[in-house]
Amino acid sequence: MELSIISEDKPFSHVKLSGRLDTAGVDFVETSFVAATAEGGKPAVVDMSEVDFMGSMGIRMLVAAAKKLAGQGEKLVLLNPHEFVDETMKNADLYMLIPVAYSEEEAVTLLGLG
Amino acid sequence: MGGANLSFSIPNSLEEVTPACCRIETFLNEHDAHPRVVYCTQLVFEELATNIIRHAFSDDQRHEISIGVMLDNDSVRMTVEDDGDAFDPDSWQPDSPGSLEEAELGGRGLLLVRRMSDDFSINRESDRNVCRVKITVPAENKEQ
Repeated sequence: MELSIISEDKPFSHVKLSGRLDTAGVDFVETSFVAATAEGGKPAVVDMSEVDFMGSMGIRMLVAAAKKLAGQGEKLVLLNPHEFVDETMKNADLYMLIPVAYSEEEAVTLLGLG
Repeated sequence: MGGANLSFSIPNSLEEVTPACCRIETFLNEHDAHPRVVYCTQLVFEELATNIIRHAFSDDQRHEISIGVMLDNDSVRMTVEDDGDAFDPDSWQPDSPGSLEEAELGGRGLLLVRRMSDDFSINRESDRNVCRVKITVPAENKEQ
């Protein structure tokens, strides 16, 4: 599991997750993910296009970050999830709680920055 | 794609879950299982094994979790057995959160197991929890 900072110069935190977002992956990346998103002081876009597996612990990590940002009046948007990861989110009943975008432009619009 | 079986066991350690998941993935890919079946089987195993290791054992002893994966045409039948405390899956029903503020952080694993499998049961047999799951390729995915 890897976390990449895509850009620090935008009005939103732009990060990318890659690999397996399972229990072991969350253990590895959670602290740096929270620091880069929920503690960034601005809305966040999380590129999910290279996450090839996500379990309930991955969902837990994303929801925790989204809840923390919501408490600051900010949003977290997921970008381009793999179709099975997308299905996992829907089946966890959380799909409508965290917006999903399929282009960066759509993500910016969902953040209210467009 | 014909029939094929995989059987192995792991100790009750969270560190063993990802390698076991990858072993199942490799087995299913080697036998040309449908990508959605490969994904869902891994997901169901990850959630079941994690729940067992976290909640089934009231002592600090080593326990074995037995896994069986049977691939046949378009479906996988998986069994996961443990000798932990009895568990009734019907005793736990998650709420559907209406807002992000209401959403609980955890507790979605069993919901995912139910929704991403076709048949799911846990029975108590000879002081063991025996979970049986069936995962098939949805008709709309069969052309992939």
